Amino acid sequence: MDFLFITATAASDHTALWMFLVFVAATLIITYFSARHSSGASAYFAAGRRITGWQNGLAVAGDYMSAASFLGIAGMIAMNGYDGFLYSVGFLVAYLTVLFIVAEPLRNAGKYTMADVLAYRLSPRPVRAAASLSTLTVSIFYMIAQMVGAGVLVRQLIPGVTYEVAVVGVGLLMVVYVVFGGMLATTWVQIIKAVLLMTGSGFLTVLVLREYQFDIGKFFSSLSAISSTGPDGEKIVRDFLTPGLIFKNPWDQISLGMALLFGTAGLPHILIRFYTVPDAKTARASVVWAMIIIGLFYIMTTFFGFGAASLMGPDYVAAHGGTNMAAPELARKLGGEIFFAFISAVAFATILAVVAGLTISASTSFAHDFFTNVIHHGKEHQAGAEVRVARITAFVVGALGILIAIVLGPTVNVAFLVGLAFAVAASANLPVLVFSIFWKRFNTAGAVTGLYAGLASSIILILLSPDIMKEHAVFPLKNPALVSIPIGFLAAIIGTLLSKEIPSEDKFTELQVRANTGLGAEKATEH
Amino acid sequence: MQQKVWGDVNIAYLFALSQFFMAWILALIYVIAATGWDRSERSLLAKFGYSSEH
Repeated sequence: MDFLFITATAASDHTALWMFLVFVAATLIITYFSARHSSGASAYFAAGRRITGWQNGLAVAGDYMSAASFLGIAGMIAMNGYDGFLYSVGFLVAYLTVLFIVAEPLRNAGKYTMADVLAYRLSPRPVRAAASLSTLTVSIFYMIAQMVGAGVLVRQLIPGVTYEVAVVGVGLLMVVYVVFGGMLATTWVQIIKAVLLMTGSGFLTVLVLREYQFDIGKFFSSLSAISSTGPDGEKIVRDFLTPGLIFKNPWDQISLGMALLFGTAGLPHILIRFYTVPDAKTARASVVWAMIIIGLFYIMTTFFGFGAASLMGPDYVAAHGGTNMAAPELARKLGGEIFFAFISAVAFATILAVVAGLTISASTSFAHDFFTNVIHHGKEHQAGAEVRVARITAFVVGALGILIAIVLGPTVNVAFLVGLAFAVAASANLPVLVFSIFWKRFNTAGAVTGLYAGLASSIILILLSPDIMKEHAVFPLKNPALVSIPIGFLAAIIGTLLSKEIPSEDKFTELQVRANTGLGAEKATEH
Repeated sequence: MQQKVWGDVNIAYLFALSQFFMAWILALIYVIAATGWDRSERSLLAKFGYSSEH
């Protein structure tokens, strides 16, 4: 691996490189020990279900907070103020849906994937095939967005490393974590990332506040008149706490908010994290830990985002690498080269933890839902076949991710892919998950129509949106959630009511007892 | 929304910030309620002769 990174680099830039390598070495050691410990499907897919509440809370946070939310939001606040901060709010509030509705029933009723809950009382094969397709869609699209982002970022952070080398490096590492270390290694990579991210943003926050002698009032006063150069080259002075400086269409914001609020609880890579804890109570505790960490992080975006706006200014940010570089450049300005290198390494860790989570969720769903349950009718015909298929899938998914990211290239705007992932999770996964837990009459036809309608409407509306069709867009909103979520719910209801199939009442009662009490739920493995 | 309430801090910022505390408070209320459900779950399981290991 090392030789890939060492190219013509200016001598002064080696600090960031060394910090990257230290992080990579630490995660590879973890992977080595995870690989030695892990044997059996439960160990590979669910880390033996022995992760504790706070560990899983950190891992959920590490799985969730992507480079887009660290560097992207900081940059948006630095360039245009308040509107960027609105993104931060949605990311935390979304966890209420996870806490109230899905985390505990999911842990009690399922085994490795989201589809386990659906298949509990519905006809397993059609439901799993549909759920696996939507899981793979969400995970792979989200992953390609992250890989392209990673390539662009690493290229900016370490001069001399090309886009292609960065994409291949990130892709290889995530495949190594998942193929050899499984869920245990992925979990620890995510935990380390969460700790690094919180440490880095905590330091950055303190350094920003130090510039204002730790006087919060003074900090906010500095934001009331930020001057920058307007589109026509004229000087403009704006109050950065004013809403509406970039977002002009409120419907876009409502749609995005709905995608976050309903989509987070349907993101497969977040959902499978709840299978790694011993029971539903620990799953609940881990959501609470995650909410504390995620909330603190997004409140800190106030300080380093607005701090970048007032201490450097939008013009400086635009001239020094653009929005994504606002946080690292702020670190350089306040803490010197070493701190810049540290924040860069944090950004790198951030990307790796998220793509590893996405890879394992895609491979788990393919192996468990599609291979074992759809093709082999739920029977493992050979011992260990499921884990073997998952490892091969992780390798294939990783290779595909690298290939597509390189073909798309660094200049493609991939933000819509993240929007698509959240929209599919919100419109296809969440409605059927909610109905299968709470609605007695819900049946197989409803689940299948709900999943396919949610998936298809999200993809079609994105293809018709301004992100793809530019000024000729048929559909006016950037995120389809406002329309596709109701379509997902309605399709699930209509599909249910049109079908003659009456679901077994006993099975629903059984699911209710199991989801609420944990009776019969998968146990943690012994040491 | 641009009304300043504390120094230069306006209603818009406080509103956004309040969402964080709202989320935390709702989570706290849920956890308290769920602890009560845990108790009834334990007694219910015990009544039907299942031991709950928690």
